[in-house]
Amino acid sequence: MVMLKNYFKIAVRNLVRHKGYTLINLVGLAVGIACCTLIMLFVQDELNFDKNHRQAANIYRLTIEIMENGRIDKAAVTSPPIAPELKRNFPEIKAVVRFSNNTRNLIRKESTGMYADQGFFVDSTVFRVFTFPLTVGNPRTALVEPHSIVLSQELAKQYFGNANPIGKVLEIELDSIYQVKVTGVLAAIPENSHIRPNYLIPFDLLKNNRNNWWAFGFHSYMLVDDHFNPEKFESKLPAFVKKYMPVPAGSPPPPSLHVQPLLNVHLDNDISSQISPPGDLKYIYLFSVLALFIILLACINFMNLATARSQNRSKEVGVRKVIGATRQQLIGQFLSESILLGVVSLVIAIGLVYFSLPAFNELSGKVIPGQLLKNGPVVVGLSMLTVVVGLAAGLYPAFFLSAFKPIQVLKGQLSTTTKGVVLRKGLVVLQFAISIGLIVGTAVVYNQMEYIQNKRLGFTKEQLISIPLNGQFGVAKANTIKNEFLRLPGVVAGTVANTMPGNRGWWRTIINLAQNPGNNAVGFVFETDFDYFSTMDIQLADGRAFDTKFPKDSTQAVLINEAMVKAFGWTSTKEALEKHLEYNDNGLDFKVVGVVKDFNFQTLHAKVEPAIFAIARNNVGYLVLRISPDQVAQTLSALQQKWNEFDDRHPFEYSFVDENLNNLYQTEMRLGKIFSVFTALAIFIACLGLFGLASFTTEQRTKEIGIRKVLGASVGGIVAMLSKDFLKLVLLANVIAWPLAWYGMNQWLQGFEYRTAISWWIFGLSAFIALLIALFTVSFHAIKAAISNPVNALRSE
Amino acid sequence: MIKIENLEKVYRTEEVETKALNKVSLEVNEGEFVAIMGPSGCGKSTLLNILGLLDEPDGGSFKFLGTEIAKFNERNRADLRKRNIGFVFQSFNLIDELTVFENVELPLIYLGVGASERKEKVEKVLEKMQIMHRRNHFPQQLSGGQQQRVAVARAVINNPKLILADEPTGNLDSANGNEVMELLTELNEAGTTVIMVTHSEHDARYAHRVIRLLDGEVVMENVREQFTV
Ligand SMILES: Nc1ncnc2c1ncn2[C@@H]1O[C@H](COP(=O)(O)OP(=O)(O)OP(=O)(O)O)[C@@H](O)[C@H]1O
Ligand SMILES: [Mg+2]
Repeated sequence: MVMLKNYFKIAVRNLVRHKGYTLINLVGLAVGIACCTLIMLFVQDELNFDKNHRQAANIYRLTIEIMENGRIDKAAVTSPPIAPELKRNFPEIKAVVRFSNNTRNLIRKESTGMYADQGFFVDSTVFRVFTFPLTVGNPRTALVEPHSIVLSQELAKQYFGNANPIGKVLEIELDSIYQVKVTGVLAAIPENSHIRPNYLIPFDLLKNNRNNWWAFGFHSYMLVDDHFNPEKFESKLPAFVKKYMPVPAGSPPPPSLHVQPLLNVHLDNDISSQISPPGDLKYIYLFSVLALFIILLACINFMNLATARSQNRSKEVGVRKVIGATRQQLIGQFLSESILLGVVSLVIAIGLVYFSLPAFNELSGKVIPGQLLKNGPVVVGLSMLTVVVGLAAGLYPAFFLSAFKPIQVLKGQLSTTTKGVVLRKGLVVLQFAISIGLIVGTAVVYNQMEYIQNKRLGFTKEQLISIPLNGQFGVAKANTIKNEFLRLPGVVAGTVANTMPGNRGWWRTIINLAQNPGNNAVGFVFETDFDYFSTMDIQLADGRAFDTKFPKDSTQAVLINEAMVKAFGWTSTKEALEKHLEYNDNGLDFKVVGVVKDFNFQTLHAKVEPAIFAIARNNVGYLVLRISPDQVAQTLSALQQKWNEFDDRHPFEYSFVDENLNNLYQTEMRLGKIFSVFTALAIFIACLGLFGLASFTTEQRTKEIGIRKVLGASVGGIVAMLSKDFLKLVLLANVIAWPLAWYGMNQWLQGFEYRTAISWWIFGLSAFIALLIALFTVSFHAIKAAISNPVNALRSE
Repeated sequence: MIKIENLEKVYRTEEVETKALNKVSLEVNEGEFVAIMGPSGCGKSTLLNILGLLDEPDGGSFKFLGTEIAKFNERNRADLRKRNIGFVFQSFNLIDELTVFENVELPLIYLGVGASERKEKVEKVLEKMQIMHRRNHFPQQLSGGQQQRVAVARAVINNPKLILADEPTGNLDSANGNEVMELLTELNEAGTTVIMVTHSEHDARYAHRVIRLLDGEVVMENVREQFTV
């Protein structure tokens, strides 16, 4: 105890006396701990998805697996009849609930109408399975009555202010307009829940596909009893599928059914068609490694500076030993010093975390609440981290310093223990290697993003706007509006389509060769009009585009893309022409009149998939216009005016296709930003260390510098002499970092079907940046020493 | 109290091998005051460091309080050291980060003495060294003589049987130097054995006996009576 007090006292005095040294260590460690804390919060958030549901451990999601174009595709979708039928067949299922895809609907109160996102058609059992507390309303009955709606607090506030919304009537536009009564208000749902509805409407309001066993566009969950065994349950499902979804001989097999625990949903990004975008374990690992790097850098600073400073402390160590301190006691003293530093850093780090949490949320796309100290695991983790960091940083200096023999120390004989110097240099190399690796990583990510933005997609994405039609018009009316729009001066071309790159509404199905269902391919269906290819600027590979000269084109012709030609195994585009295809259950067949060149309608992560194009006959999702680059604002307001003439019920909405496409790369953009922030921090901390180290070496060589100057050395010569050693280390760091960074980033790029090469200039750039920063850091001290009066230097001894 | 026979110490560097001590034999009895003299580089400090258990000999025998300790490891030596030996150095070797009081207190802390006893002892010795009024000062705030008095206070705080002083007056003017010599004499008269390295014939006069070294060997021993004739 007495000993500890004594350690503490001398530690505090040491820290106060050597302010520069203390500051460098505190800043480095605090930034390191703050980074780790943020990452810990991030990881904790990711790992705790859906734990807000009380029965989470007993909830399973139904998924399917299906063979498509020769590979297995997993998807988190089912058709509507499956879940209820499973419940009837298997007593271990206590309840099931189905969700539609999230929908966007116009909701009106009297004359004001707004589009609301994140709506779901759900079974009334939703409240039995999931824990979605209601602030008002009765969960047992809320969604039983078909003409009812449950709103989020924000929506309720939007429509009713602070008045009690229960029993009030809203008008919602689905396949037609329904009056629905508000029966409940959802309490706030944690951000880390994979389903976060804005409003819920009864499944019974859904008119299409309710009984279609093949309409795989719904998400089903089941609540099971405590004895449920997923493997055993899955083994009974093939028989179920066979019974309820028979397929004629020769046609492709039905999908197989599977179950997945709710708590695994968020981090399983192997499954497509999820209700919300899943997380990615890869990024969790990556961020954790980055945080570790940062803290490692800070620890290295501490170790290096402490050992470099050992000379100044050697007298103290020697005296203590002469007086009777044992090695253990000295180690204890140095460790308590570094742990004290760790604790002070922790306090600063917590401040930093509070301060930077909003920015971090912005960067990571999360909403992590700020009550850090109420977060048990984080508090425990942080305390442990502090001790570990204190130990890691202090252990080497402690052993190093305490190993001195007392007389050696008192004689000043430990100036150049080569082992210490080599280690110190090695650690500096490691620090810079990490920093350089991060510079390369950042450059590659940004380079790839640049590439994606500039890649020719096979259509022209600029100056293209997409106007969602939300199903309120049939094709005919959509075409009338389109023709009106085309008369406006700024509008160059226009078309309609069921889906647009960067938007929603994808329809993927099996396409058969007519009269030959065994010969098929899976592809995306584009339902458009005669102007699609010209408006989008899509090139023809063979045959012809749709043409109004051929009246049969609107009902009996299709075009396909080159990928579809390949999927069918045809050797040339010629071979595809005149083939007859079926893509619907209605038995109609379509003649292939043309083949278009592949264009990227999905993200550049994936190859262009097979696609088929037909003329739309019922509803279309989007009206697409190419506008002239001049006077965009005028054109848009003219469009709005015209729109209101046709439809004063629905607000005019539009988006730019190139922006929508960019939004597909949010994860990567985020990665780029996070990478650059971490890189900046890493470089900052490495430079702090270098700065401190340079100041020590320069200090040690003050006398030498003085003598050299007396003998006639120039300022430039001395700066060069002092900087040279450090620059050599940075160069070595480059050599180590390059191959590792190249390997890592090459792995990352493999995730893109379309990618840039890692070019040499990136390595040149990283070396240049690292050298420049190092030179700048080191030369500060070197110049200071070089321009000072030599007498000062000589007198200092 | 101390009996060494044929003690050897060799320093090896890459090029040269220095025999710092060559078959040194001597005996120091309890209560003696011994001065070691000789030209620079003759091995005085080396000898003193070995006598103080700060360094180990390369050969010969070393009996301390009747125990052969030439082969003791650092841990055992440290233990013997902190219980029996006090050190005074030419350059004082006070810890700059600690106050006068804390510097003097330190050996007691390492011996595990309780707080109130420590306070009492430290105050007593500071009183005796006439440095009590500076108890809360840091070493840099003191004159050389004052610093050496603090160092002596620290050396005697745990009532060692042996005090080793390596040129204790080397950094002091004659007035301060005499004061320190008086202190050592007082301690010796109270029963503590003192071994001191010095270059000063004047200081050597305080000792009972002078041992002269040359190139690592004892060349002459003379007692004060003969010497002062
Ligand atoms: N660590 C060492 N490595 C190599 N040689 C050493 C070492 N320490 C001392 N020596 C050598 O051993 C010899 C004796 O040194 P020592 O310090 O004992 O001399 P000294 O008599 O105390 O001299 P001074 O009066 O100058 O203090 C000298 O020749 C010295 O150069
Ligand atoms: Mg000496």
